[in-house]
Amino acid sequence: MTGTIIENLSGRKLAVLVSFLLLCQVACFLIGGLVAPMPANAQNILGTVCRDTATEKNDTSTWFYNRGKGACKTVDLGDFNQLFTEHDIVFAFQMPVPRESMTLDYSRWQQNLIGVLQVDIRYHSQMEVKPRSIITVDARLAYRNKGDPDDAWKLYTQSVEKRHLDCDIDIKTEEYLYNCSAIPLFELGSLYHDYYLLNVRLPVDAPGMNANIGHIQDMWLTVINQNGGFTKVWVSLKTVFFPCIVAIIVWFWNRVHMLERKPVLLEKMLLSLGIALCLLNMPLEYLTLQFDLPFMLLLGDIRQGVFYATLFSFWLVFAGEHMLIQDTTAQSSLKQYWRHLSAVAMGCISLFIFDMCERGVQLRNPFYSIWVTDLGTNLALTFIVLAGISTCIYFLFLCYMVWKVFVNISHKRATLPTMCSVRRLHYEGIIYRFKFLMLATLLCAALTVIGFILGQVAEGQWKWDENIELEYTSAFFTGVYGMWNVYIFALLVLYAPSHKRWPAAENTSDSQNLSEEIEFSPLPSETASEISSLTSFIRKTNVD
Amino acid sequence: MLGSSSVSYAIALSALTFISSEIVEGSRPVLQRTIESLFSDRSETVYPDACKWLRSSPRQTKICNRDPGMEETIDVAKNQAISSCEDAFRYDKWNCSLVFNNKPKRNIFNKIYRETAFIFALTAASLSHAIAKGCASGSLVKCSCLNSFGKNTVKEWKTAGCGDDFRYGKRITRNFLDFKHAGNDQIADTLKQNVLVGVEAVGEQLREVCKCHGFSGSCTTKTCWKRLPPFSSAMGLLKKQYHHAVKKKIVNYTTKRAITPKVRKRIRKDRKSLVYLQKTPNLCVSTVGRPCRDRQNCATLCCGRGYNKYQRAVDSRCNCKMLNCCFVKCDTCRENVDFYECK
Repeated sequence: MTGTIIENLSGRKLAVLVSFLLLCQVACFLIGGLVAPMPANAQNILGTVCRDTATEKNDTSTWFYNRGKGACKTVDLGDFNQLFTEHDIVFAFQMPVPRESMTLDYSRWQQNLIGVLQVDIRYHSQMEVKPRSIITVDARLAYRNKGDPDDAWKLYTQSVEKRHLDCDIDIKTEEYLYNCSAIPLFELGSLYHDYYLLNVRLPVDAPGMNANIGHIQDMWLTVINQNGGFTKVWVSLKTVFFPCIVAIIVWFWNRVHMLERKPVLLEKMLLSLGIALCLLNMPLEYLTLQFDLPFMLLLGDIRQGVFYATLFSFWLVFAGEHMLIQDTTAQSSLKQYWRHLSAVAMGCISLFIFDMCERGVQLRNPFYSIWVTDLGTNLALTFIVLAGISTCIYFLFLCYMVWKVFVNISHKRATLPTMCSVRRLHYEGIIYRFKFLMLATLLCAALTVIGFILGQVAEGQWKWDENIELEYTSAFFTGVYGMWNVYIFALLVLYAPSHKRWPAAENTSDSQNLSEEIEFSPLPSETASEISSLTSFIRKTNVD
Repeated sequence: MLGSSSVSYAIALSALTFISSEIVEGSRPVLQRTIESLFSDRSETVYPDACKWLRSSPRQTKICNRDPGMEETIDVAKNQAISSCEDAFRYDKWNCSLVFNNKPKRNIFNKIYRETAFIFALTAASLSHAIAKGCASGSLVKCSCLNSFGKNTVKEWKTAGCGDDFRYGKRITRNFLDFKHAGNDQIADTLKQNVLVGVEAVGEQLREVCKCHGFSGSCTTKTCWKRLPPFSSAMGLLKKQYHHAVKKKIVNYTTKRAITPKVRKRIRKDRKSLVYLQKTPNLCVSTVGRPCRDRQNCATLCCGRGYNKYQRAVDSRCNCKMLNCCFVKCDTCRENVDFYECK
């Protein structure tokens, strides 16, 4: 009878493997902290107020910008006596803004672009801005590439959007400005072009449109993009992890197929977990350097979602397989777990629907947001609450199952002293290692949660001394990412079937151990299938 | 640059006031000269060459030449400082005038009064604010990324992003006012501290805004940035500082007494407030004929001389409607308004 590698591995080898994996883990954390810059960068751009002299305002071939040849005529909004109407006003944001006398351009390594609008509204005693008034924005986004002439802006996308404007004010005096919340405006999943230009108009086509938003003095746009350095570190990590995990999966599956039996459920689950991780590890970001792939944000979400779903399902099955399943004669299959897994499926599906409603629609219209309309907000909240509830149910259920496994093990421990010493030592070893892996899972989960909380509380950078600065946010990301890779790597290695046969001495017993021999002889149904001995051990006790 | 005058301060304490009032052009530190000329110029004309008009030092000329938008920014800073000062002190005894009690000899820059301290802080605050704004709008092109000092900016920006604009504004303000060569006598220390207090008044008003953009838009990834406050809110803080300014004794700097921990603690505490050296003269003479706001304000502003109250019909904007984002449509109403004026 054979078991898995973890059961047959000597303590020394296990220690070497674990310390090697821990080293990898620490390396991942340090790479993120010392090599990578912050994950994302924000740049504030003050809108230039341009005057649109054309009579036809729907023309998307004319663009307003403040730098370069053909820059627009600027106007001062503080001056009330000018002869133009609201239709003539365009807020222009040309990005990126220049630095060090150099015209910067976006690099494709910067991956994505998120725009957040902030308005400075001046207080007027006679027109107070009501909380939660609606601002209607006619936003047009254009792009240009290196080598194009200064005025060769091409339309990227255009939309008229409504947003909630939440403003309050402490000191109600003229000259003072309202405190307005930031308005998320757009999300671009790919940063394919070199320069972007946003033209914002505040239309007043319908009565009441933009009527309650006060006197806008300035408009700010904050653009957030992923840092190129971070992308490089991230993609390199993926490039390293991807072949490693693929190789270990191939090795694992080979090993399973070398056995005479068919793969058992736990092994299938391990395989799918490995594949899900591969999917996550696949360095698809290289493609964005060549092609315009706006769906990368959505794809990233889906890849992560699939991975988490598989990981959660694996934990459930793992706990279940080490428990007493009543029907021991049949090969366990995923069907037995449908009740347990429905919580995972429910959570994933609701999150997927939410994501499709938000980021899916943003593929067509980067200005879209589900949170604007009341219906959309309710819908989004429903899905998020649903996902939250299923996560809670899942974790309660998982805790219950793990608790049951431990109860079982401790129960069986009581009978251990009656066994012969060799066998007892072996089973104690198995239990110890099972608990060890349980502990590792808990540790990984706890570290992720603690790291996340620390990241929320602490400042972005940790200083050890003058020279060493640790970029905590990046370190957290690479650390957690590395940790789950290492964790699954360890699972695939340790839970692969072992080829070592038990020492003959163990099976050829003396006459006094005969009773135990009968007790521990393989069940008839199991003769063909060589399941992990721990599973069989627990099952056997159940039959007893 | 300041060698001769700092020595004279050391030699004779009594000479200090004399020297500072009779400063010869050119021997004064750039810091004082710049702020004085920025704040003194009340004309509305826009100078084509703000730096020349400032009679700038070589360093300032360099800063101006490096960035074509700098002159306009300085002009913006100047107007912003003056207009917000006049607004905030309209009903105070000192109304941002350059001389006390209309006596040309009593220039506020002659000594370091409470008002002088305030002006240094205000002008520096305005300068750093305007520079930060210039960087954000793209009218200043020379703004640097502070995390990439001395490196290839374009490459550095693509890998690690850029620091925030206000930090750059702070640095350029210090450079422009030539902090390094402002001297290290008591006057210079006082003025430098006031400048720093002013810049910090803007810094304290920076508000952090965050945006979550992680997995499915959750807060697993959160990016935060500092939002530049409107200058008026920094002005509000500065006016508070003006009222809580600390008077310091004029000390002979060459014979520095040993700094005990107690003294050091006091110095550290004082570093956050405006500091002045001379008491402001009584300004009651100058408030004759000044308009005041209400009964209470008139009592203090008119120094107990009483006030005249009269009514005047005033055209004002009323029934204002926000027609659209950027314009206010108002009717003109005529109503009788009470006016107060000091006797």
